[in-house]
Order: sequence, then structure tokens, then C-alpha cells
Amino acid sequence: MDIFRHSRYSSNVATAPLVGMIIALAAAVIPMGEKVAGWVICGFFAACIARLIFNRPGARLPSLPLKLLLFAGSVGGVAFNYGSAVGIEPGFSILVALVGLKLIEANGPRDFHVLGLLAFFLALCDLFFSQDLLRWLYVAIIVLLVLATLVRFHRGTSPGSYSRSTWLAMRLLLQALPIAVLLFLFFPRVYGGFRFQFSQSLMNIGGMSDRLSPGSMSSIALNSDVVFRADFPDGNIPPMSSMYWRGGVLWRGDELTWVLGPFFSRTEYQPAPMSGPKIRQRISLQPHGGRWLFALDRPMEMHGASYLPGGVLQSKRAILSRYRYEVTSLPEDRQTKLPSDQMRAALDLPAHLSPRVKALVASWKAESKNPAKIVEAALRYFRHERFTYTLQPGSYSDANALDEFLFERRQGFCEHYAAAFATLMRVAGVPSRVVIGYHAGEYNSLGKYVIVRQSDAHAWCEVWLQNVGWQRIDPTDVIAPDRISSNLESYLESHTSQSDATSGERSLAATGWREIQHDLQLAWDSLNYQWDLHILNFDEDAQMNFLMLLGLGSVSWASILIWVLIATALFVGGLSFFLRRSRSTVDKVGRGYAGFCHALARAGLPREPWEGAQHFAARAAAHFPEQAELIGRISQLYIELRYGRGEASAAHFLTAVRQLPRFSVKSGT
Amino acid sequence: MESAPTDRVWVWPNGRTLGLAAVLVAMCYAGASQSNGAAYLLCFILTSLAIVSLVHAWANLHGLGASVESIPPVFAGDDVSVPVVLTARKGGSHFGVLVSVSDGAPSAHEGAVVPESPSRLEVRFPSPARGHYRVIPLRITSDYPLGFFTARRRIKVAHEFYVYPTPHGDLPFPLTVAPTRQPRDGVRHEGDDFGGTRLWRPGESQRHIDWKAAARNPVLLTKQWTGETDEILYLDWATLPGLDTETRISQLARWVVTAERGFETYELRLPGKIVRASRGESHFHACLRALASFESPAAN
Amino acid sequence: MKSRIETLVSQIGQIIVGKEDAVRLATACLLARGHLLIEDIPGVGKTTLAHTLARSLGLQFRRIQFTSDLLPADIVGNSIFDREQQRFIFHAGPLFSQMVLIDEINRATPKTQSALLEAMEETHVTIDGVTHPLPSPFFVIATQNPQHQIGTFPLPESQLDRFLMRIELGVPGRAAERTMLLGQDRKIMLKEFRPVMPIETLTEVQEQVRRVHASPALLDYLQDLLEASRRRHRAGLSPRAGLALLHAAQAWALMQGREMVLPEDIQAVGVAVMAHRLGHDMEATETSGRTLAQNLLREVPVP
Repeated sequence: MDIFRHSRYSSNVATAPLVGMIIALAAAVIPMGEKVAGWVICGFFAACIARLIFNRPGARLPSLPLKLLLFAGSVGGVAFNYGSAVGIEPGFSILVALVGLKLIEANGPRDFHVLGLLAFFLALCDLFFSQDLLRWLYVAIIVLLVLATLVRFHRGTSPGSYSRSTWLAMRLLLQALPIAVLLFLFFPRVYGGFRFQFSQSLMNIGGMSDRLSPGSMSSIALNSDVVFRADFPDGNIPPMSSMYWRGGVLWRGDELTWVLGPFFSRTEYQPAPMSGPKIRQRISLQPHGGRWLFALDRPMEMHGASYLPGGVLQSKRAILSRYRYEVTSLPEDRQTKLPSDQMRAALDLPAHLSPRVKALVASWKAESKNPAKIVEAALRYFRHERFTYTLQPGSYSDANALDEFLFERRQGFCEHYAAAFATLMRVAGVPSRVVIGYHAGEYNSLGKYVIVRQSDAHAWCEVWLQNVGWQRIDPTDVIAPDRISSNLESYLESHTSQSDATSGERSLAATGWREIQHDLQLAWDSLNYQWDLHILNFDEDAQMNFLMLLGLGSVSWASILIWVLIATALFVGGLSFFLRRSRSTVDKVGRGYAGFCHALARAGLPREPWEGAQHFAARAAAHFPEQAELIGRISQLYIELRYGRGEASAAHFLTAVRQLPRFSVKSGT
Repeated sequence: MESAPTDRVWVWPNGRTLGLAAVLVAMCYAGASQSNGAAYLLCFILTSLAIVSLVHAWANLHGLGASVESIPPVFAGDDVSVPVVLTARKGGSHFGVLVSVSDGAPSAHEGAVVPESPSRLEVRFPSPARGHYRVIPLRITSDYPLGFFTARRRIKVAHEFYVYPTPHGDLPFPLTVAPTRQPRDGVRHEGDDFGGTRLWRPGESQRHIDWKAAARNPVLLTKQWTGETDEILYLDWATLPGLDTETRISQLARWVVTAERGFETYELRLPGKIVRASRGESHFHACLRALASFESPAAN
Repeated sequence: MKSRIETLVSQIGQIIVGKEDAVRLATACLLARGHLLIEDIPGVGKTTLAHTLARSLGLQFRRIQFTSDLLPADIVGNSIFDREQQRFIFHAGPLFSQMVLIDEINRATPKTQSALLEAMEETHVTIDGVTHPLPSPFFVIATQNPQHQIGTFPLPESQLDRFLMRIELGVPGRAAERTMLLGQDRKIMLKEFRPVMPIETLTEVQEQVRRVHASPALLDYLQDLLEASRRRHRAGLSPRAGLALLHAAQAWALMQGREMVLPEDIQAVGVAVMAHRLGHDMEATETSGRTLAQNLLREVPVP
């Protein structure tokens, strides 16, 4: 190829497609930034710029020793950075470094294609980090850019403008959609059973832990990542303020720090009886790395999940990919008897308690021995003793945290109140435990579902009352009642004007705009949810359901695949017909004659391109004496139509052509 | 004339197809192992893009017309340069078209072929054995649009061209020089009008050698004056006995070239074919054509 | 009409044996009102062909042998002062004939050649400011020896274009030669010939040739040919050449008894019309115009 005449160390790729490819590669690398060493990213962008400089006339590409040095340096550097060259983050770092090196080295059509394939691969890697609609659209744009660049590259020496190539790339994408949809719906899905699974470090997981300590909730309170979305297929949606999404139950408390607690033996445990209206929920859980399966207070048993003694569901494996499940909850606990080991665990006291705490609890017990009254007294204490609900409660020392919180600072977030309350109850002899989960969420009226974000994280308390069962007590409700009736964001908004001066400049005029923005966000989230439901969740089961819906439930995969192949072939045939037709504007007569020539060519007598119709007719008539009359007639009509004064009728010609028999090859000659 | 031209567009996978397949498998595996629906979707879209690009690759060469313009004759051993004209089908354009004469041969590249103006390009290929050729097998390929498939088409273009035998051999000119006319008085008309030069032959007076020309040209030329005898140089097959055909042909070709360069009047005599005495461009080529097609080893 | 032309062709064929193609082409050239250039070695019947054509059409015939000392006045004529009438009187040269045979046109000086070719193009001669129209019909057949010889002046390209066709007669085939050897003396035969087509009919046929239909598809093909020639040669076919090709093809079509021109007609006359117009590119491509023309017809597809 002339334009690629090879010289080893000077660039042979035209600048315009190279720029397009570099942009695509850089765009694909950007989302990986968090998981790749910073210096690797910097090196990659340096390589991008260096490659563009190399492409100027006269510049030379780096020589082989230099490339080897760079390669060894980057691999060694990554290994040094992470202490190993194996693993997720070193792996991605090395990948990005190699792409950068390949970019520097790329020098010809073959390398250019390798870069295109690498861009596709990087786009795939981007999808490991996030799969929401936004990311997918981002990836689609990268793919489109790579396609346009490839098209432009293959247009050769006169490529025309970039927009033409982009236009063709879009047309290709559009034409590819039908087959893609077909494959998506019918290509058999197999999940699981693979050894290769990314650990949680790949996903942006900063969710609920199995441990409650001062600051563990407030640290995620401003994180607006979606934890899960839930819809209610039966349509009975409980009021927002009573939507307590149960996650984990913490039994063992030490002042303000609570952890999971003892493992109860399964034999002793029986699911507690419950009553009340059934609330069915379908929950799309984002991967969070833990095993909690959130559900409204109090979930029933669910297939495929363990039911823990605290009345919570737990997955058997860590949730590392989106998980969709359906669960039914009953709001009322009808448990009357607490197993002894649970009773023991629910009364287990921390080793050291300050005298001040003991004195406080003693004062409540002096009023009444009734557990319900003690609970009331404790709540009253929180209400009247000037406790503040704040996101920045400051840090509490480990040693005497409860004392400091209750009597000195009196500033806390939900976890402080729940932990303190549960501890106080135990001191008073009332069995208690802490529940972590989410409270409320945001109702998306467009999609009729609830979005629960990390900022909705919440902790509350449950106390055991004889003859009543476990009773939910939310001390936060007492300290900041608006927090419970609204969500945190709006609570903070309405309270910052007095407590926080930094964000006081928000004007009232902006409120209208913010509402529109909020509506748009909801609409976008609704779209994302649909994406999640129908595309990302289209797994083995969903595919089976879909096939059943079509009545293909019992058809074997082999025959389905064959039908997919047939449909693809039909589509390809149609497309090629369309492309051919759109390219030729030959009139009917011309097409008819072309058909005539084609028939003869098939019979072994092709018309030479320069051959006139009359000459060809004579030759054909000699070759096929039996059909001489017909050949003569067709040719004569064609000649009259083509070269005559327009007296012949095109219809006659076309009829004659249609009568055309199959020409049999004359035997012998 | 050759049989029916095989003028069909075939689309073949290439190395890049393998690369793409590897990436697609990786995507599919990622989709399955990470239960990543987005990766699946990406994989399926790229798969169907590849299929669609296959159709486009086919359509890109479909309807492209190729013809060959007059091919200048060459001596065996030199490159034949074939001027190819590509014409687009009405209403369509063709991109990234590569033309070569046969597999593995160097090819010429053309960016785009658009309906209004046919593109010309020159394909060079090492000349085959001497002879008279009538068909040029052209191979047209294109990687357009995405490069994941190569569309290929073979066209046999009826076009004749000659490969002249390589001029080779250092035997002296044959001495069968027959004067057409007797000199009128047998004496050279020296001092008359200068009538050009011709090849110097051993034995001639060195005074007539055109020394100025000798400085520019390796062959020695003798100055001639009008009125001198008009002589014919007979280049005869029969004067080269005991040599094999190709050597003889090469030697004759060498003589033809030297004679033409020396402005001689010469006649070529082959068994069964005589090119009558003359000189000049067309005579020169007539002789070489006769030599090229004489018992030509090329079966074409 | 076809039968008339056929009679003409067959009568000529009696004398020019085994040269039917050349005879047809020459006839077509005449019918298309073009001039003819015959390029061949002496003795193959160039003169006889011209003579026979003139005889069969009843045309007034003159033959001029071109030599290097021939002056323009020798062919077009000159004005001589007449003492009796006290004025110049124009004495018409041999060119003032309906059919003129020019032997060895390349022997004359370019000056004489251009005078002849100018007269051919203009169909009149201007001497001393007076215009003298040439007779009608006016048909020139020129012969030329193909081999380069000392003392010849090859026709410049612009003037070759004035000839509608250039044909070669070639050595007759063995059988045809035998017929000639055994047959009557051509010259005696010629004297016995009667015109088969009166001049009025010839003029009528010539008119008719111009009316033969050329459809858009055919003109497309014709233009494709012209464009192809311009693409591949430094100087391709001129617009005049295109017109010549069309007229010749029209004449050919009429001779086939057709009222419309087919690509086959163009191909039939193509080499004769195009070869000498492409031939001057010889230095560049080292191939004869004949081959170039044949290639052109082979390569341009019929739409």
C-alpha cells in the first residue's frame, strides 16, 4: 500500500484517524482512573501527547530499546506501587500502561486496528466499574468514536470529512441494532459457575458495614449512591415515615459501638409469628459487597436466603453484582417467647459502665419497674435534655464514649442515639438490640418505586416487651421528629439556615430551579431503573420467563439458535439487497436486460462488457439454437427500446424477459 | 480469449477478525461471569456490527468497474506497469480500494471512487516471461468500512500487452549487409550534406567516427553523408546456429536495440516471420513484438 | 435504399476482390461526406479502389501525384493575366473535381498539404480574394506510404483529423489473389462499369445518413469512448473526432438498413475513425493507433 510504505521508525498513520483513536482511548481510560495508579494515568496521557508529536513530519518513533525500557519500567513500577503485579488494581494499571506503550509504538494499519480493539476492551473494563445507563451511554459513545475512526481510516487516501465517517458509523450501529436485539433476547445466558469474579474492590462500595460505631452512619450520610430500588407490585405502599428497611441486627454492644454478636444455634431458632397486612416488595439491590438483603420491617422467609434470628434476611454469598429479589413483609411482630440464648444476648452488658449512667438508669427504675414506663422515661430524657441531632457530632473517645455523649457533648447522629438507647435499656434490664438499615427513601412517582440511597442509612433500636414482643423504638424520632417524616436531605436543608452558616447563601429564587432539576433527576432515575430492570437484569431466569411468554419454553436452545441464525441470514440478505439497490439506479429495462444477460451467463455464456446487444444476441443464438427465436426477440425489443426512437413498448420487453426459460448448456461444445 | 470472468465479490475474514473475535469472547465471558448485562449488550452490538460491516464490505466492491488502459510493452525483467481505471456504479461510491495484478504482488491504492470521475491508478508487477499476453487478472480488495473483513474480487480484463525478450548477448553484428543500391561512383561523397549517423563497424575509417556523440553514448557512431549507400542490416535467426531458442531470441533483441539506437535500417528474419527492412519507432516495436511472440513459452 | 448501397458495394467488390471490409468502410466514409486516407504499401489497389468508387457513382475523377516540388497553385489552380480581356482569369486546378485521388500525400511539402486540407475542410478555395466553391459532392481519397522514408513530410496531427477515416487495404488473401491473377484486367473492367447510383441519389443518401437516429443511450456510449480516450492519452479524441465517429456510425447503420445507430456500428467503424487520431500519441505509448483504438473499444463497456 502506497500510503503505508513502511519505514520502521517514522509514523505511517494519518493524523486525523490517529487523533480520533487517541480521544477514544483516553475517554475509555478516564473512568478507570480510581483503580489505576495515578502515575500510570499521567504516563498514559503523556503517551497520547507524545504520539501526536511523533506524527509530525520528520519526527521519529521511539526505538526498540527505549520501548523495552518503558515496558519494564512501567511493569516494575506498578509492581513496586502495589507490592505485586497480580491483582485487580495492578492488573488495570498494567493494562493502561500497555495501551499507552502500544499507542507510542503504533505505526501502520495493523497497529491501528490493535488500538481499536484495545479501545473496545477498555470500554468493556469501564463496564466493570459501573453499569448504569449513564456509563453505558458513555461507552456507546466511545464505541461510536472508534467506529468512525476505523471507517475514516479505511476510506484511504481521500477520506473526506469526519462527519461523513461518523454518519456512516451511526448508520452501521443503527443497522446492527436488529441483530443485536435478537441476540440479546435469544442468546442463551449462563451465569455463575465461573471461577473468575472480581472482588468488591472493583465496585464503588461504601455502604453499610456489619458494625455500628460513632460516625459509621454519618460518614455515608452524604453519599447519594443508590443502594436499592423497590417497587410494590400489589400497590399497597406504606407511609414513608414507617418505611424501615431492615438490614442487620446487632446484638453485642459496648457503649456506643455495636457489632453483630453471637451466632445462635439454628436448632433453637424458629421464625417469629407475625401479623398485619402483607406488603410485597420487589427489590433491585445494587452490589454492596456485604450479604444483607434489605426488606421492610419485618420480612418473611425468602427462598435462597437465610433467615437470621434478628428477623433479617442474609444472602448466602456476598452481593457482588446487582441482585433482584421479591420479599413479603408483615408489619406486626407477634413473638411471645424469647429463646433463652437470645434473651441472654439481649441483656449482655458492657464490662465497664460509668456510675453516672448507672445512677441515671436507677432514677428511671425508681419511678417504675414496668419496662414500658422505663422506655418512656428514657425517651423523655432524650427529649428534654437538649440533645442535638447533627452530622458533625465530633469524635468520641473509645473509653468513656457513652458517658461523654449522655452527659457532656449531647451531640449525635442516629447511630449515637440508637446505640446509647439500647445500652441504657440493657442497664435497666430491658432486653434490647440495635437494627441497622435504611429509613424511608424517595418515592419516584414517575416510575412508582422507592429509591433508597446511602444517605438514607439509619440505625434504630428494638426492645423486648413481655407479651408484646420486639418493639421498635427510634430515639432519633424523639430528638429530630422532622428527620423521620422527611428525608435527611430536606431535613438538613431546613436546618442549616440556623445551624450551619456555610451554606446560608442559597437564595429562595433558586428553589424553583432546584425543583425542576429534582424532577429531571427523578425522571432520569426512573429511566435508569427501567434499564436496570429490563436490560441489566435480563438474566437466565428473565430469559426463561420471556421464552415462556412467547410459548417457547420447551424449545431447545439448539433450535432457538438455528432460528436466530436464520433470522440473521435473512436480515443480512435484506440489507445487502437494500445496499445494492440503493447504489444502482438502472432503469427497469436495463435491469430486465441485465437479468437476461445474467441468465445466459449462468448457462455459460457471459456477455463481455463491451459487447453490444446485437452482437451478443448473435453469439447467444448460435450457442443456444433452440432458444434462438426468444433470444432474438428479447434482444430486438431491447435494442429498439435502447437505441430506437421510443416506439417499442417496455411492457412487451419485460414480459418477454419474464418468460425466459433456463438456458440449458449445449452438450458437446 | 479466456473463459467467463469470475466477477463475484467474496468477503473473507482476516487477522483482525480474529482479534475482534477474541475481544468479543472476552466480553461474553465477562458478561457471564460478572452477570454483567451491559457487557453482554456491548458484546452483542459489536457482533452484529461485524455482521453488518461484512455486508457493507461486500456492497463496497459490488458494482465497481475496472478496466485497463494500454499497457506499454516492457523487456522481460522490468516491471510491467498497468494503468487501471476504476469506475463507480451509478449512484454509488467505493472506498479504500486496493488493486493488484495477482496475489502477493504489490498493489496500488485508491481512496475513493466516485461516480462522476473515474479514478486512474498504476499497478506494477514483475514481468512474466516474454510473450504476447491478452488477459490481465486483476485482484481488487477493500477493507472498508471497519476492516474486520476483506472484500475481494477477481476480474480478468481482456487486454493485450507484450513482454519483449531481454536484450542480451555480445555477439558481433552479422556481416550480411547487403547494399540496396550500388554507390553511383563507389566513392564517398564526403563534404556533402551531413546525413546523420549510423553504427560504426570494425574496419571503417576512424576519421568518420562521431567522437562528440561517443562521449555521450557508449556506442560508436559513424558520420554519414548523403549520397552514401543505403545499407540494410539483416538480423537473421539462421546466423545463430548452435544456441538454444531463448539465447538466440535475446541476442536478436540485443541487435535490434543496438541497430535502432544506431539509426540503422534493419530487417528481422525469423523462421516463418520476416519483418521487412525499415527503421524508426514502429519498426523497432514490430521487430520486438515478433521476437516476443516467437515460439512464446507463455501459454497465455 | 439498402439494396442500392448493396449493389454499389458488390460492384466495387468485383474489382477489389477480397477486401469487402475496406470497401464498405470506404463507402460509409463517402456516404458520411468524409474524406478517406488509405495507408498501405504500393500495389495493393489503392488507386483502383478510388477509381472504382468514382466510376460506380458516376463522379468526375482526378488523380494528383504529390511530389516534393508540388506547389499549392498546382493543385488549386491559379489566376493568369489574360491579355485579351485585360484581367486575371482563374484557371481551376485538378482539385476541382468531385472525386480526387491524392497519391502519396506525405511527399508534398507541408505548405501544399495544408492548402489541400484547407480546401477539404472549407469546400471552397480562395485565391486573390476570390472564393471559388469546390464541386459537390467533393470527396478526397489520399494515400500514404506507412514507412518512414527520407524526403517525406508526415501529416501533422491537426490535419490527420480532417480525414474521416484511415483504412488499410493489406495484401489480398491467397484465394482473392488467385482470382485477380486469373481474372480480367482491372482497367478494362473499370471502363465497362456503369454508374449504379446517380449523383442526386448519392446526395439524398448523404442527407439521410444525418437523420439516422442516435439515442441517448448510444450517445452515452459514444461519450464514454471519447472520455476514456482523453483519460488515457495525452491528447485524446477531439470533439470533431466524436462527430466523425457519429457520422461514420450513422452511415454504417444505414448501410445495414437500420434507422438507428447501435454500439455495434460504432465498433465497426471505430478503428478506422479513431486509429489515425490516436496514432500520433505513438512516442508516448509506443503502440500503434490501431491497437489503441482496438483496446479502447474493448475496454469501454456498452451501457
